[in-house]
Amino acid sequence: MSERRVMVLDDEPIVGERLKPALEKEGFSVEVFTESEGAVARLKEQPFAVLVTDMKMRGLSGLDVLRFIGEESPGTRVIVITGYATIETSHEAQALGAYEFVAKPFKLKELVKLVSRAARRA
Amino acid sequence: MRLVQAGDLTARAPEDAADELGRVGRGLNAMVARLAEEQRSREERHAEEIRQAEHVASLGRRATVGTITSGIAHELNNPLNNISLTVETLMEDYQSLDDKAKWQLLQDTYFQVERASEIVRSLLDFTREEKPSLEPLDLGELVQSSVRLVQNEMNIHGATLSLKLPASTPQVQGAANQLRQVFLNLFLNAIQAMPDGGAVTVTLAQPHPGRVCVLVSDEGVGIPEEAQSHVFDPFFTTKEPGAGSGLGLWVTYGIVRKHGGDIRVESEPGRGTTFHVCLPATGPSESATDAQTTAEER
Repeated sequence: MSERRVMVLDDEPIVGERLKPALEKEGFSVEVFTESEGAVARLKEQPFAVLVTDMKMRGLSGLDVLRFIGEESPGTRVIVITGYATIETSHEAQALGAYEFVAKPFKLKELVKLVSRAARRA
Repeated sequence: MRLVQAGDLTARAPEDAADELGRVGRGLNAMVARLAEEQRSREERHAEEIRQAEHVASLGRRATVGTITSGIAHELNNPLNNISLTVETLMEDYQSLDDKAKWQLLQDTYFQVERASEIVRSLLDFTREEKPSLEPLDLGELVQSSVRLVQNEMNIHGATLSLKLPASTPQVQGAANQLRQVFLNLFLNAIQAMPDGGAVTVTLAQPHPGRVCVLVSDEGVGIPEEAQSHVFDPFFTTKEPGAGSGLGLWVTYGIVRKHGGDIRVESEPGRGTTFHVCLPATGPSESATDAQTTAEER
């Protein structure tokens, strides 16, 4: 059951609003967060198979969330989505164990496919 | 001697005479040679200082270009992503969505296009090279006309504005529309810094005859100390995501600089913020403490 649980974290509310129904159509149970502190608090309560997270956010950044996952929830696959990535941040994300790095703008279908693949491996 | 007095340090006095005059000539020449040497090293130091200043300025420009490029990428890719996801949803689920849901998706698309356009517009405002066509302006009138533009916004947010102008206000050379944009940006920031309402105070002061300053103070949340040195950087914002592009104060800074002026900020977190905009004054004026007119507006 837990391999169908997906969390979407992006401070742009539209990202969660569009990803949630698209992922639910594929049978995932989806929770959406627009700020990272709330997302981390939820991750402490419940394991998720896949986390889709933005990189640049107020408060904890995507890299901070990745670090938390590495320490507290290593079973969770993390897909990082970002509007602009420097080589350093993408390397750092990879070093921290990110499953995939996706540049914005991305296609809804591609992201759904990626989540499905990550969930099978979770 | 006359040549040296006139600044020619290559001139030399005759020093071959064996008598007193020859000794004076040799002493004089040694002195002139030392002076010439000092002048040369002063010029070299000056040239080196200029080279270093240019180097620092070019580093600054390069850093700014880097900040702008990554800023543009980030700021435009976010609305583009929102548009892309929204249009894809509309195309994918067109048959199953009800009218209300379709309308919402169209509205989201519309606002995200607006957001992206606004960023491009601000960038163009800043980088537009042409000199604004400058005309003599009454700074007091200009500030008052800018205040009228935010009246509605103040009513909505429960803010009041008091305007402290001297009886006769100084003139500046400027482009009215651009300077109005400066004050509009500062007023809107002041209003937004006070989510529970409060007072904005706008004061026109003249520290000396050649200069006039407009102070815009609020009683808002203030700017954290570590953020104060970045408020004029492009794409820097302390506002909620989507609430500010981080270009307003950057554009404001650009306009003020183009007018030969400067802008700075003073802020105490929790107490409020004051922006100082100072411009070269060109016309007659009176001291800001004389005959203040205070307009309380709600």
